[in-house]
Amino acid sequence: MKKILRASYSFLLVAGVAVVPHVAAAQSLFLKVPKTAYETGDSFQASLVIETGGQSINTVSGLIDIPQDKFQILDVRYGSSVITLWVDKPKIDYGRGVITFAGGIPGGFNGSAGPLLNFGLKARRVGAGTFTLQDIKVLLNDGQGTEMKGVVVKPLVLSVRTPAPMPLSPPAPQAFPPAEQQQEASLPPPDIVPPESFIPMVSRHPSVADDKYFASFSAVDKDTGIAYYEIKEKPSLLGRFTDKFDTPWVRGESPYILRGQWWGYEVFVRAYDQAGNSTVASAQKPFHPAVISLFGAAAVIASALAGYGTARRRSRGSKKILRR
Amino acid sequence: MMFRYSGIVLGFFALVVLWPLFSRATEYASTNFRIRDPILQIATSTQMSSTNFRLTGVAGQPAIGTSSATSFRASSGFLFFPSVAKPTVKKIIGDGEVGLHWTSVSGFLGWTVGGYDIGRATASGGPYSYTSVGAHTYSAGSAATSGLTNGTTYYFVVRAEDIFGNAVATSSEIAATPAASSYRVITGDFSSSAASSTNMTQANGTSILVDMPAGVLSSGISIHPEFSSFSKDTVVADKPLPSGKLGGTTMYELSFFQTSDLIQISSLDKAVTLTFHYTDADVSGITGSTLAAYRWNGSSWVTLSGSTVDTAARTVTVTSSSFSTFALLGTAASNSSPSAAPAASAARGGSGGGGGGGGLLSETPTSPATTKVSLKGFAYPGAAISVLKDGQIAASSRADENGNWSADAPVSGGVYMFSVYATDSDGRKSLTYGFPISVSALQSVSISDIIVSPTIGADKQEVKFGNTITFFGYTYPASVLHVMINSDTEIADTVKANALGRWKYALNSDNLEKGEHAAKSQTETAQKIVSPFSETLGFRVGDADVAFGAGIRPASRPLAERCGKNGDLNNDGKVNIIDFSIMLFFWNQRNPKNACADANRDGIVNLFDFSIMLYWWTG
Repeated sequence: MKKILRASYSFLLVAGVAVVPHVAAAQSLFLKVPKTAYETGDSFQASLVIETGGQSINTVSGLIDIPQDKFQILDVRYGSSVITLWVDKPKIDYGRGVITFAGGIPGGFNGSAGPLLNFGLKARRVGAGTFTLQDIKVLLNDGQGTEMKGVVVKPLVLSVRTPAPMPLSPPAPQAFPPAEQQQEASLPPPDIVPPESFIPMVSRHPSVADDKYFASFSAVDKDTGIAYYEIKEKPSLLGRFTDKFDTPWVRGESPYILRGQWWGYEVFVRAYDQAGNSTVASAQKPFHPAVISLFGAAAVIASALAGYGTARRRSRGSKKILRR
Repeated sequence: MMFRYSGIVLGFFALVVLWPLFSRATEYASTNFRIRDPILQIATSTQMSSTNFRLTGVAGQPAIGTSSATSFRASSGFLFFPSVAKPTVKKIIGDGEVGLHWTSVSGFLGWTVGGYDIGRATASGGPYSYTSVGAHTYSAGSAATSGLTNGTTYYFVVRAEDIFGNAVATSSEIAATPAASSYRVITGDFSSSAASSTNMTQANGTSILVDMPAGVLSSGISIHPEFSSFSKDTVVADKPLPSGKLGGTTMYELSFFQTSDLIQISSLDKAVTLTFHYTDADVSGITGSTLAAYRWNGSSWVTLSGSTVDTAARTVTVTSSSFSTFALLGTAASNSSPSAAPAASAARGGSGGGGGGGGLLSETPTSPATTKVSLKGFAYPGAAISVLKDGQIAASSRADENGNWSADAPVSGGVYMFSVYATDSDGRKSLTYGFPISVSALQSVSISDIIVSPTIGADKQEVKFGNTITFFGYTYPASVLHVMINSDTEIADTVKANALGRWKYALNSDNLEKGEHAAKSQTETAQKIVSPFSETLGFRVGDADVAFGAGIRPASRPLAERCGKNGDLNNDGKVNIIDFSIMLFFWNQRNPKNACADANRDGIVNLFDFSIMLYWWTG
C-alpha cells in the first residue's frame, strides 16, 4: 500500500502537476457538511469545528456568514460543543444572515475536530453559495489572553441544483418513492431531553449593582443548547403558606439582580433548551443582614417586654399575697 | 528512489514501445461533441503486464489535464481519479440500539479521510439520515444507533468523508433489528498498551466490569472491543446449559478485534479481569455460593478457574484471556441450603434496614443502572482533587499517600468537557487541565492515567544577582521534575521529587542576566507519563533579595493585591460562575467599577479578560 502512495507522489513530482490535495491547517476553523452539492429542498446540517494544532485554547468567538439567498437557516445547536460557557450564545441574525457566537472552555481544549456548534440548512435556490467565517478570535489558554496566531479559516462553497428529473418511463410506484422522500434530510432527531441539573448561586458584591444580591447560573443542555432562563423568587417562611408573595416567572440572564433584596427567598431558576424542555434548580437567598439585625433587635425588645411583663405580674402577685 | 519511479517509467516505456500495436481509430463526432484521436486497445489482448506493473484497458492522454466543452468534459491523469476503499461494517444488536463498527479507510491520490457519517433508514436503499461521528470508527454515543424501536428493521450505511465533509466512500448497507432480548452493546477503540476499564450496565441492574491491564497485547496495537449482553433465553437456544446447572438471566458476549482490519483477536497476551455484578432477580433460584463464571468454548460451557463469588457484594470475579460468551451458572437453591439473597440482604440490612433473613430469595431493590465517568490519575500525596464537568464542580476527592486518586462523576450522556485540578498541602493549586469525554446513556466510561501539573512556588520574588533562588512545590512522588527557566538563554534542568511528592530546585542567579524571568515545571513519572506544565512563576534578578510574602506570585498575575487571583472578581478564593456573572455584568464596559474584571488592564472588559479568567478557573 505504501508503495502505491510513493509511486503516486513520485508521479506528482515528475509531472510537475500543481494540484494540491486538501490538507487541514495546523490550527484552523472550518465548516463541515455532508457534501458540497445539494438539490433544492434538501435539508442538512453543517458543523463549525476547531483544530487547535497542538495548542491549548480556551476562548473562541466569531461569526458565520451564510448565503441566505441560496440557503435557509433552520436552527443552531450547541449542546455538544466543547464550549461550555457562552458569553454570547450562538444566535441567528436573519437580517444579516449570520450566526454569531463567543464562548470559552474552563481548563482549555487541545485537540482536532472539536465541535463548536451545528446549524441546520435548507437549500432554497439554484446556484453556488459561499459561507465565510469572519471576526474569528481564538485565544490561548495561557493566562494572558494571547491571541492564537496563524489560525486558518476557510470559506465553504456549496452548490444547489434543481432536483434530478423523473425518469421518462417510471417504474412501479413502490420502487420509486415520491420526490419529497428522496430529498436528503440529514437533520438530527428532535430534542426531547431537558437540560442537565445545575446549581444556581446567590451572592452580592460591592461592585455589582450597588451591592445588591444577584443570582448566578449556567446550565448545560447536551442537544440543542440552552435558550433562555426564567427566574422566580419565593419568600422564606411566608412561602410555606401562600404563593401570593411569589414573584412571577420572568426571563433573565446571569447575573440576575434579585427583586427581593431584604427578605429571605428561595430563588428558582428554570433553564429552557431550544426545544422547550426545561429544568428547574433553586438557591437560597439569605435575609439581608439589616433585616436580621432588625429581627434581633425586635427579639431583644420583645423578650425585654415579656420579661418586664412577667416581672410586673409577679410583683403584683407578691403584693396580693402580702396583702392577704 | 529509483524503485519508486520504476513502475511509472516502465509504464511509459511500455506505452511507447507498444504504440504500433494500438490501432488508430476513427474520429467520432456528433452535433455537439467530437472525439479526436481516440486510442483503442488492441482487440487481442486486454492487458499488458510485467513483474512490477500492469496496464489495463484504454490509455489515453497520459498527461494530466482536462478537455472540456459546453456539453462534455474529459478528465485524465491519476489525480483526477482519487480513490478510497469502502468501510466494512459490522453490527451488534441491543435493546433499542445497535452497535456498529467499521474498518478505518484511507484515501489515495488526493483524498484524505477526515471522519465518518452513519446513515440510517427504515427502508432498504434509503433515503438515509446522516449523523456524524467524527473520526471514530464505531457508533458508541451516536444518536443514529440509539433510541431505536425494537422489532423494527433499520438499514445503515457508513459514509467516509474527506476533511471538508465531502462524502468520498459509502459502505454496503447493513440491516439490523433491535430486540428487547438483547440488552446492551458497547463498542469503542483503545490502545492495548494502556490500561482501561469498561463497565457495561444493563437496565435490570446487572453489570460487567472489564479491566484491561496495560500491555494486554504485546504489539500495542489499537483494539476494538465489542461487548453485548443478552437474555439467557436468547443464548441457551443454541448454547444449552450443562446438566444440573442454572444460569443467570443476563449473559455476555465479549469479543476483541484489531481496529485496523476488524480481524478477531482470539486471545490476549495478558489476562483480563471480569467482574460480574448480579442482582437477586438475575440469579433467582440459584444458590449464591455456587455461582461461577463460565465461558462457551464453541461446543460446551467450561468453568473459568479462579472464579470467586462475593455474595454480599453480589459479584463474581474471574480472569480470562480468551473471549466468547460468558455466563454465571450455579446450582438450584433448596430450602435447606443458604441462598444468594440472605447474605446479601443481611449486608444491606446492616446499612439500610430491610431485606431480612430467611431461606427464600427476596426481591430486594437493585441499584439502578447509572451513567457515569470514572477518573483515575496521579497528583500529590493528600492533595485535594476537584473534578469539573462543563466548568462546574462535579466531584471532589483526595489523593492517597502515594498520590493516586480516583473520582466518579454522574452524567446523563453526551459530550462533556471535564477538567481536573489539585490543591497541595500548602494550599497551592495546580493549573486546571481539561479534556472532552463522550459518553452514551447507561454507559460507564473510565479514564485513567490523568496527571495534574505540579504546583510551583519560590522563596523570593526578586533575587540579588549572584544569590540563589529556590523553587519548590509538589508533584507525583519519586517522579522527575523538568524545570525550565525562561531567560535570554533558556535553562532546562531536572530534579527528582521525594517520596512525599515534594520537589525543590535551587538556581544560582549568576547564570541569569538582571531583569524579569519566569519559571515553570513539568512532571514525568516513572511510567513515562508526562504532565502539563505548571503555571508560570515570574521572578526578578536585581539588586536585592525580596522574599515572597506568602505563597506564590506568578508573573501572569499583574493585578493589584486587592484583586486576589486573576478572574477572582469577588475575592472569595475561587474562580467560578459567580465571577463569570460579575464579568458579564461589566462586559464591554470601559474602566469598570470592579477593576479586577479588566484582568489585562487594557481599559475594557472583553474576551481577553474572559480568557484569563478561564485559565484560572476553579469551579
